[in-house]
Amino acid sequence: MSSFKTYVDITEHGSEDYEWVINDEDHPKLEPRLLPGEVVVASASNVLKFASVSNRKHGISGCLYVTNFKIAFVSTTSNYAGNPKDERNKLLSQNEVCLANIDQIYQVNGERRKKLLPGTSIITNVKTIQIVCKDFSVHSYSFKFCPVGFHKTVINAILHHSFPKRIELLFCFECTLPPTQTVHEMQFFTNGHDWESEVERCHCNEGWRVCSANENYQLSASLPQAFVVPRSLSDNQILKASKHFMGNRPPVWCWGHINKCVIVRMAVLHTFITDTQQESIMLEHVRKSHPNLREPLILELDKSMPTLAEIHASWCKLRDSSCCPLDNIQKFWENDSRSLSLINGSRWPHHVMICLRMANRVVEAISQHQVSVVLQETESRDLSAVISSLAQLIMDPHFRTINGFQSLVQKEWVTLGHAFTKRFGRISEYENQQSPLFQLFLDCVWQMQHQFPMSFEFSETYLTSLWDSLHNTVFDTFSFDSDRIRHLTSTQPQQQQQQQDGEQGSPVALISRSVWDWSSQFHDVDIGLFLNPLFSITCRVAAYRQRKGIPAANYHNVNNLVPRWIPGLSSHNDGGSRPRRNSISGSISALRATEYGAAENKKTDTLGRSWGSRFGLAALPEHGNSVGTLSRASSNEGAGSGGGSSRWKRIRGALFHSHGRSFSPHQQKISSIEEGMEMPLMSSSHHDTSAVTYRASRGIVDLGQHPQTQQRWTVYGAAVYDPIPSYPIKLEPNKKPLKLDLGKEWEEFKPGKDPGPDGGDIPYHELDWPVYSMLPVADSFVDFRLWSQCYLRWIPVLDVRGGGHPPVYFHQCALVNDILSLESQLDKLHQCQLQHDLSNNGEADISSSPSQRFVTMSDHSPGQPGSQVTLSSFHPFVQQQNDSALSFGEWEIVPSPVISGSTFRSTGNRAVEAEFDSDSFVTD
Amino acid sequence: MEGRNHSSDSLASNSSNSKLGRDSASSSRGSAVKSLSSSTSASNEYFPDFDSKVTIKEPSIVDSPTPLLTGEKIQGAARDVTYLCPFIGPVRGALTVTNYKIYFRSSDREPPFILDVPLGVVSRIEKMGGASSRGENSYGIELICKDLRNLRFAHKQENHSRRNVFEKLQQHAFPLSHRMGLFAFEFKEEYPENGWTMYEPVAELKRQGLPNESWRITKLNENYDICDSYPAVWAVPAAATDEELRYVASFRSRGRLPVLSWIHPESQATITRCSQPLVGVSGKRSRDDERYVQLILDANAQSHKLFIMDARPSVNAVANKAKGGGYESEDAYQNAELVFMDIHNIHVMRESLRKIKEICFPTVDDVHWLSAIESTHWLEHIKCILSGAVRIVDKVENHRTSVMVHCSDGWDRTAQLTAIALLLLDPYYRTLRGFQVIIEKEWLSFGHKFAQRIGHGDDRHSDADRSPVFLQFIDCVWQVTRQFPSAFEFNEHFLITILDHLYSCLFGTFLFNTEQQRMKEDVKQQTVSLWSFINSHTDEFINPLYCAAYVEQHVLFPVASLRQLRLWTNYYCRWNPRVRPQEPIAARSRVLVSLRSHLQRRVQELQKELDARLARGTTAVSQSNEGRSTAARVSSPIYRTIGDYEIGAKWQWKFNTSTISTHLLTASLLSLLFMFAIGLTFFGIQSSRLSQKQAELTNLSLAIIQIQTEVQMELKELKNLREEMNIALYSNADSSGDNGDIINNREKRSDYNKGSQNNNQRSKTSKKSKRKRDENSTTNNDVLSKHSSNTKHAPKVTAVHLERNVDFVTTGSSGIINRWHPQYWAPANNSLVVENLKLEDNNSSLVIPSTGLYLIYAQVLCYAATKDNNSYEVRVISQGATSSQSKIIAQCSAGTTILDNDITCYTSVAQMLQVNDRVYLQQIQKNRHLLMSMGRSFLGIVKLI
Repeated sequence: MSSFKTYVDITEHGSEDYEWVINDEDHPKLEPRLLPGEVVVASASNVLKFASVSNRKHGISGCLYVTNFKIAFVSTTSNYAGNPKDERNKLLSQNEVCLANIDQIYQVNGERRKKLLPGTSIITNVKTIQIVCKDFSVHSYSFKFCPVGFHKTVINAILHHSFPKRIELLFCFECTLPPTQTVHEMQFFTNGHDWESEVERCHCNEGWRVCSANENYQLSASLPQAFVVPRSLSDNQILKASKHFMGNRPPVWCWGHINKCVIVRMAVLHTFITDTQQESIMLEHVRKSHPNLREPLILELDKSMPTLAEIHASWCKLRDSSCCPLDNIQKFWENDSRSLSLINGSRWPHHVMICLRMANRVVEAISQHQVSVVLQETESRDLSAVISSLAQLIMDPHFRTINGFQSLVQKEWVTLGHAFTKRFGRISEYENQQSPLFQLFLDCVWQMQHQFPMSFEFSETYLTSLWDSLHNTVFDTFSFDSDRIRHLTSTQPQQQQQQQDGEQGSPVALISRSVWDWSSQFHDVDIGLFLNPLFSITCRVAAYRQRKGIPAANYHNVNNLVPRWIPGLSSHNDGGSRPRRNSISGSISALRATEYGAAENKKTDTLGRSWGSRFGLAALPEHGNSVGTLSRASSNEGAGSGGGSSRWKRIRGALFHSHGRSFSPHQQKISSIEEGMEMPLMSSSHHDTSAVTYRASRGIVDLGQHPQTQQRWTVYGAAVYDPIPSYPIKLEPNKKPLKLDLGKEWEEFKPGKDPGPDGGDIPYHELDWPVYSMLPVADSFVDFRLWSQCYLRWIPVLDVRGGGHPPVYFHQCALVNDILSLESQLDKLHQCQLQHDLSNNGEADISSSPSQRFVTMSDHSPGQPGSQVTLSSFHPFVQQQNDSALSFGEWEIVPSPVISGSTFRSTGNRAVEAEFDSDSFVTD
Repeated sequence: MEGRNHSSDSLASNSSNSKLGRDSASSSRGSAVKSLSSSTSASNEYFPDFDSKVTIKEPSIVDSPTPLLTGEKIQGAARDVTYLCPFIGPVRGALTVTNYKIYFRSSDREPPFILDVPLGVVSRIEKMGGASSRGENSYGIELICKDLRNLRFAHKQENHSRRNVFEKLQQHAFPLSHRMGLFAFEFKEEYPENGWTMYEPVAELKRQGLPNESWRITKLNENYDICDSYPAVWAVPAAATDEELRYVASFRSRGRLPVLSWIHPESQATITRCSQPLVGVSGKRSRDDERYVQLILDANAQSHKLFIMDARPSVNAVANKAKGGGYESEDAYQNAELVFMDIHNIHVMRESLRKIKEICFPTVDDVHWLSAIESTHWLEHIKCILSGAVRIVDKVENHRTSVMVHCSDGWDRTAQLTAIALLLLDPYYRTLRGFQVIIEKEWLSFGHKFAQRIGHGDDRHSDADRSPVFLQFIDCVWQVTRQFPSAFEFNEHFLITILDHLYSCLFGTFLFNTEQQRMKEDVKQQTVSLWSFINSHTDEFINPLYCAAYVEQHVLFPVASLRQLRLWTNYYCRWNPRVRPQEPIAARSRVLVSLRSHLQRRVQELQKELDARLARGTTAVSQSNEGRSTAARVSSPIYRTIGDYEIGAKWQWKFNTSTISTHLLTASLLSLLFMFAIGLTFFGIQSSRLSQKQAELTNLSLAIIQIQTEVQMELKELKNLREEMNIALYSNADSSGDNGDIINNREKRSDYNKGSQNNNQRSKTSKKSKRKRDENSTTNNDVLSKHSSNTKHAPKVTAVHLERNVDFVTTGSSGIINRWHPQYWAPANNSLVVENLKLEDNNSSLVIPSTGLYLIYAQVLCYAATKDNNSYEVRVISQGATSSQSKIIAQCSAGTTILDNDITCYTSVAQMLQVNDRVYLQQIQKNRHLLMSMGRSFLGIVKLI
């Protein structure tokens, strides 16, 4: 797209554009692009911008503008000179920083760095400032050549405007961009209807109902107007009980498993209330809503998880020590060899993995022990959102689609009242209540996606883009503390203001713009990069297996989950010297059968095997024989024994710290489950058959009968994958691309309806392709990976030009495109044949184009042949062209230290700080 | 253990081996005999195996026999042995020792637990416990292996089986220490490919373009008498005589004089490798050596400097002086610059690997995993090697400088550096066979002492000469493959296989220290090459992500930062079930590739079938169908090969002219075809000779495709023509907008606003036939013409001053400074008219509008990062001539000795120039950093008469 930026652009600019910028102050062309409602607050010309991680000797010169939305740096080499359409992001371009994104501002004097406090104003002469952002980027500006006095205006404006005092000062109130069109395919959960359909989707209607006791937010200010409670509870009971809980938040239903176990989020009782009766009543109702009247498992997150302050500290440490390009280039390389322990020292890996562990725990309890889980937390708005949404991602394939994921975020985070204003530090008074919980969540999702690249509809790019959008205050999605404030600001601005602070202010009505409307930020081609091409194959495999009733024996997926070299499995190691992956799959169950002597394990041949084996094996070293099949009623036995105030069993305390997988010592029951994680995946014995048939159209894929045991195995949720011809994600110009049609029936799967003479043309069932109904997420620290695409991309020297993931991504896109078009061709040919057979005179409706297509390299870089674009390894949006001057204006200023002879002697074991000319990558 | 005495029963073992081919398909049932990896095909690696029920049918054997290779014999056995697995606990079974492997088979499990370890991997054998030891499983044998694991077997004290097993193990694990031969000499397996013929030194040098005018190939060392650790064939500077080579060899440690390793196909910059000079404490000099180094430098005409990369830390290099070694002093080697790479010696590496083993086996320290990795310093060493290689590549590729690499002896670190540098530079080495060449060449023939470093068949486990140098190299390669997943033809499995057989002693490839020894032992005749095995089973080792068209071509620059490196857990931690590999994306792509080929086949079949039916068919409907499907095939090439990423685009929001015209053409052709089809249909109803018409139709459509391509060709030519016409019409500003395609007229208005795009670029894009609307596309070629439009009476001046408004540019490999930007003299009173001058070739060349005498002036300001000079040439190229025919009309050189300085160089010349001559500036040194801001660098031209 940006390939034809007109560098030589005389007709438009005329001669004066090409004078050296220092010479003219009010350059007409050097103006930022303003959004409607955006106002320039201050500006300074002849400001130098330094590249990140450079020696800060050379900068590009330009004008710095501060508006009520962003800081914009405009230079002649920036993209404003070209076509605004060339911007990858329609709202914020490369050299612009959203004010809400600013975390800290430093004044730099040589090696010394002094933090500038928000709300203060500077008097002294500041040469250079560094702006550290919440998205880990750092922007350094020098006012060395700036006309005297201007820098003060600018810095003071930044200090003043980036830390607003009131929520009404956020830009989303001032922005007059048109409101977003509603994104139809996803649920926003702002009304009762969405909740109802969610309850129905989860088949929880029997035990749960949508409650409207919170109309006009009379019950709780942080809960939405509609939420879901046990059916047996009356509105009055809820009203009464809610007073006892912190934040007036009684237990709220979040999600239900097919076996009727649910996830409930609940606040703790007020500290001044000693009587736990109300809590017990609530829990009793939760218990009653369970078909088998099992007691729920209560996870006390406050006591078993790191505190919010710890997470924030760790986040800052991660940023400052290892990911953030604060340092100059020399320091950066000096620290490089220590980076691993710095990452470890930040404890961020620890926090990420603990969240995954906790989520796994919830999953175990629900899918294995078949008990409901109550996540209890102070106000149940923070960590419980992380854990609950992670657990749902693990268990419910629906949430692994884009729309599903967005619905999940809406449900668990936005409407159930995660305090974004506080946690993101949108307002200066909340500065010390910040905690990057949503970022933590995204990191966890990325870990899962990294572990299961085939199972998510969205790509890494999607997550990164979402991460980037968090601090874009054009959108209101991540700006408010609760549904109530969002509601009030958008409907009754004046009233709300009087209620809130009694101040006089101009009435501001919020125009609601959702971050999920991606087309307001990105172009269609870029939105295409959000899609994971492999997912469509996963859908097809799932659909095909389901439709064909493929017996389990043909299904091999475990081999990729288990290490290839388990000594116990090395019967196929061929001389002990070469791994043979495929052979392991067959022997996993065998090994486990011998290990546990449990005949039942042989049954779990399909999806259950993947799950069980992972956990079974992981537990092997310490607990050889203790496994067996777990007692389903185990959790019931704990009843009554729970000490303390309540009879409810709780899990608390330091669960994870010392031993990888050991549960808290006084919870023996649970820990044995943990060890013997055996997952007979929702066999039909666990729920009545009527339910299966009822849900068959909604969300269950039947995998057919096991040949030996005659037991039917089902996979929950796979029906959200569409069958082949109707998988309808389309990317067309002027159309919103992300659509997932849910309404198609399996019968419309054409090649299946009309199997060829061989009995099946597309051998999806033969593919060694995993379809997970549940993800066996690995959660030990060894499995932690740094999300380098996201965290490290501001460090240009770490960019692997022409390498990294993007080539793989495009390769796969092209492959999948080929497959899809072949498929539709095949389909077409079938039809021709059919019609020929029938001698039908009717017109055949033949479309030759496949229903779906993924972005390929040529789409993404039109105008350039593939070989001339060197993609950055970090972000597919950033493309490195043959001409580095165009897209990376500021990169040019770094003279490559490699060629400098003076650095050779002293580099020591520093790596080469290479800033290579992209010409050398391209052979003509 | 077994019911029969296997030790003498080679017949039985042979018979079981004969089934290997079949058994490999039935691997997973455990009961099936599985033998060695190497002799069986595993082409079904990523695919489900279909559990064929092939089992051994040998009724005489009660227990399953130990699978044996050809030439393998059972040496000893013990029943009632317990294998103490650190992960799943003790396993009871029977143990067999052969002359190749140790084979354990459990008796208490179904399917049996089988352990099959080649003895070559064993580094040390120890007895656990003595006669007095009590407690279960405390008495037995422990094997410490080179592949980062330990195996422990517990024996019963009563039956005295331990002594026998221990003795046999000792003997056959360390055959050389017991005056026996290695197993590789007994292994006789036939493979369709012969790996020994894979690498031919002369052929490889020829591939690099040798010999040429400055390098020759010599067989001086044919009898290994000059240097016993070097190969027989060398490439040396052509100017060096044999006599000189002998003298030079005497000044280098162990006679390892500088010999060519790789030569850049374009710039002739070379990588040479050698050992340290024998300088000693007294600082000896050798005139021959100095002259020889100068010859190497002179062989590369592009550079005035030679970089000597000393892989050692400088301290070590100085310390080596005491032992008579040392490094090249700058006084003695005037034009060379010495750089120390800071890679530590083999002892440090060995220690580091030992720590890796500590953290990986048997248990992983979960909480401190990252810090533990850091504390081993292994990744730091990897980083040093990688960054050293990147530095070499940078010198050779970007600076066209020759590089000489050495360490102390030039067989450990040097091999690492050169091999990786070659891998990054030359895409050939990134293929499956190319990588084998690199190992054969840089490691085996140049005398990396594999026997010593690995300790094949030798029981001195604490030998200080052992070191994981080669493992480190493979690890580096893995790191690069991880950063460039689609640049390599081979996969991770290939690398692991190489490492496994590095120890196994099954193949002759890695045996012995030098080429000379291998010749003496007749390794090529007596043993099988690892490459025989690998090249016979290439399916397994191919990387499905390999994408030659896109990445293959360029030079790789991996990022040598610890943040981008990762511990190779799939190798180091592969024994540990806790450490889980990521779900293999590559395997998935492999599945997809096979699925695609399946579908393609299927589509073809169906198409054929359909065609066949239609040929027989009689109904009109089927015929119109046929017409359609033919049309569809013509119109949209739905798939093509994967490599070019040009699968028919769906978003047609960018068109350029040629594609639109192609579209029109296609559309018209289609409608023609369709009408034809309808006509035929009509005809078909009336006539009975339909089938003939059918054939005609197919022929016709073929013809139409042909015509289409021809028309496209013509369109292309037309476009070229038009460009030339534009050149001719440059003075006619207003009419110059469009004379080409009809479609362009629509965009005419916007063209002026959208800025200019020079012709060259545009034609390049139009060739690409993308269906993209190129919004910036323009035909406004004469960038200056507008200015001259409305002034008629003012005096005319033909002149232009070009500058570029950026701070820094790096000139590319061509050195041509491009993207000049015309700088206007303000036409304040219209007294002066600047006449038309055009910029072409990426705005690098000024096109002379009319014949005359011109004054050309230029100044280039160069950032002197190195002690280098700044030289550029003003060149002229006449119309139609190729770039090699350009002539220099002025040259300007300036130098400085002060670093961090700007060197400026101004020149001007008056010259007669013909019409359509092109004037451009070319930097002589490649990849220089030029300061391009206003007034610093410029190019100008004034027509005098």
